[in-house]
Amino acid sequence: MFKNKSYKSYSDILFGAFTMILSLVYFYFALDIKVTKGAILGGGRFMPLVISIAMMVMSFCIIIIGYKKYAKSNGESNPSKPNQYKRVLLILGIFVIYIMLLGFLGFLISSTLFLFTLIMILANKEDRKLIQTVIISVITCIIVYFLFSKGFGLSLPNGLFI
Amino acid sequence: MLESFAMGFSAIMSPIPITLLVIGVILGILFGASPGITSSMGMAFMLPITYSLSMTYSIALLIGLYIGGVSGGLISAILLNIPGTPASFPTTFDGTPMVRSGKAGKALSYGMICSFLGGMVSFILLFTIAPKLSKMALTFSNVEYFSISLFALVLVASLAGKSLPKGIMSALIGMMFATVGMAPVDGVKRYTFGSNSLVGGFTLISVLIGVYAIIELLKLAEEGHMEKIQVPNFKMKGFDIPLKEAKGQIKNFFLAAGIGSVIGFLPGLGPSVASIMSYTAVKASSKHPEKFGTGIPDGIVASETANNAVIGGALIPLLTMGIPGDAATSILLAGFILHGVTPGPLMFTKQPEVVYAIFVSLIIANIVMLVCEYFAMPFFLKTLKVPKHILLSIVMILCVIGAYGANNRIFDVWMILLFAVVGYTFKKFNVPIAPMMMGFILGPLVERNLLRGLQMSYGKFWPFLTRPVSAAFLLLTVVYIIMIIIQRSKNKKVEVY
Repeated sequence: MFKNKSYKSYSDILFGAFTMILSLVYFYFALDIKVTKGAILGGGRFMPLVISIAMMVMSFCIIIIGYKKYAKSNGESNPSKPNQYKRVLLILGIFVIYIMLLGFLGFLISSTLFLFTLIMILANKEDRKLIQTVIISVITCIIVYFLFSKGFGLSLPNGLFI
Repeated sequence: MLESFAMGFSAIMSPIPITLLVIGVILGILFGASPGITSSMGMAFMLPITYSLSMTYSIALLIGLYIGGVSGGLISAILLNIPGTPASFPTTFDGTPMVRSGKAGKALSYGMICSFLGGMVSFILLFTIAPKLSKMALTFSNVEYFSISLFALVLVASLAGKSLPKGIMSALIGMMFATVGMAPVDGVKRYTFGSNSLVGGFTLISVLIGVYAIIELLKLAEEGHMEKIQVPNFKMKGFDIPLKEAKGQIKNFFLAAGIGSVIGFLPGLGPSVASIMSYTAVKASSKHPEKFGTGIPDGIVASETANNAVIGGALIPLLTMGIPGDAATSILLAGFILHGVTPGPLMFTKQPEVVYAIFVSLIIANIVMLVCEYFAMPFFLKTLKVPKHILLSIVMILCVIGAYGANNRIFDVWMILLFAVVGYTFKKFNVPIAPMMMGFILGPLVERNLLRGLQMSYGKFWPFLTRPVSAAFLLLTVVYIIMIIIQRSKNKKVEVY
């Protein structure tokens, strides 16, 4: 059904559908909120209910408008740039691993590894310089670590080592 | 008022605050000029440094960053044809042609002087309006705050993007995130799902860092091959602005300054909206609109005056009512909260030293900005040679520190990823992000003031409609919504036929 038309034309329908589901879930859990006796408008439950219903209405509008846009679009797909979503997911994954490591290896080591990996992956293939990146990563993290923990007195995640 | 300024001067003009201010301006210009880093991002990850500083020192640093950041974008916009910040995007329209015809110095001169003067005009507005507005705001009760916050939300939802439903949805999602945690009046737990971390709700700084800083990493990851930027060497030799030419720009200047200040005052918009609207308006009111884009000073005057004029305007609602005017003031708000200061009318009476420290910092930082940009141009250009991906990766580390440092928990670090993904998803679906931020900040204000207001009136809604200021804003809200709906349906009819 969606094959002939570019993603742009049905992205609104997708978004509307997503927010509709979100608002239904949000509404469902709003009913879990305790109503304090004597509270005005039911206390903590009021706002979530209002927001979720408003979200449902808006989702509906977005889907309708999105469908009109989809129906009108004449299927021209203009791939301006090939979608690099794989790279985005990779970077996200690396960040997730970094945060997980913060608890084990501590700030200094985790950040050095993270910085190194990030720079190497983001650099253009021809610009990847191993030694330079290692030096930048290590020195930057050491400076940042001492500047913030000793200099500014902030506490940074401690691992098993540093 | 003069005494208060004197108080502010003595607070800021000591060695440490002044040093912090100058450092802030220099870093701000660097962040503003670097195409990979936005000024809001710069303020967001510098916020953790202020955790251990006093309120005055934090103000000096943050204001310096703010002013430097908004202005710095003009350097790369003109010399590299790449706006350093979205706020300087229209500066490229006339900046680049001027460079090509050998008038780089003139373009930069106009950019710098207009940034300086535009800022000053908005500061004068701030200094005169804010104290008066705060006196009025002292009479406000929960009822007025509800109506004003509601209007602000509706405003930002409608002005932020092309699609009204998406703008409203964005605001609603922001409000949704803000409901996580404890309810305002009765304190019941909402959407915590048994997690202790969620009881306090999402930390504002995590949301700000995620949405304004981490998202840039995802955007960079999406780019395929990074283009290498050719950075020219340039040194300023005098301001290339002949008096006669300058006189011709006066009308443009004041129009741009006015637009910038008003846009700054309206919540959630910011310098990027101001500069493009100003450019459009100045061009429309010009005697020679066809020349715009070919390399005339008018374009630069329009863009750079407006984006700096936002600063004073945005500080008015922040300082008088605690409602941020743009992304940078949202970060300032987070900074205030961190130091236990609640911006609002009481600040003018109970903590005037904070208010006037801000006012004085604005003036001094503005001057420092002009001086730095003039004399240190070669320095800034050299730093632009640092590859974007290295700079951004280092910034990520600082962001993690910032998020962790707020409450000393890893949970907040996880949250910056969550909100980066939310922001990135919004971008992919063409949903404006400013309403979400404002929804997150204003949603609780709307709820708390509604519930407390009703509590005080024993459940009756009448006061909301009878108290003059509240009634005015509610009426404004309704009229505005009707206007928008009529306007949009008119546009749709034009499209179909």
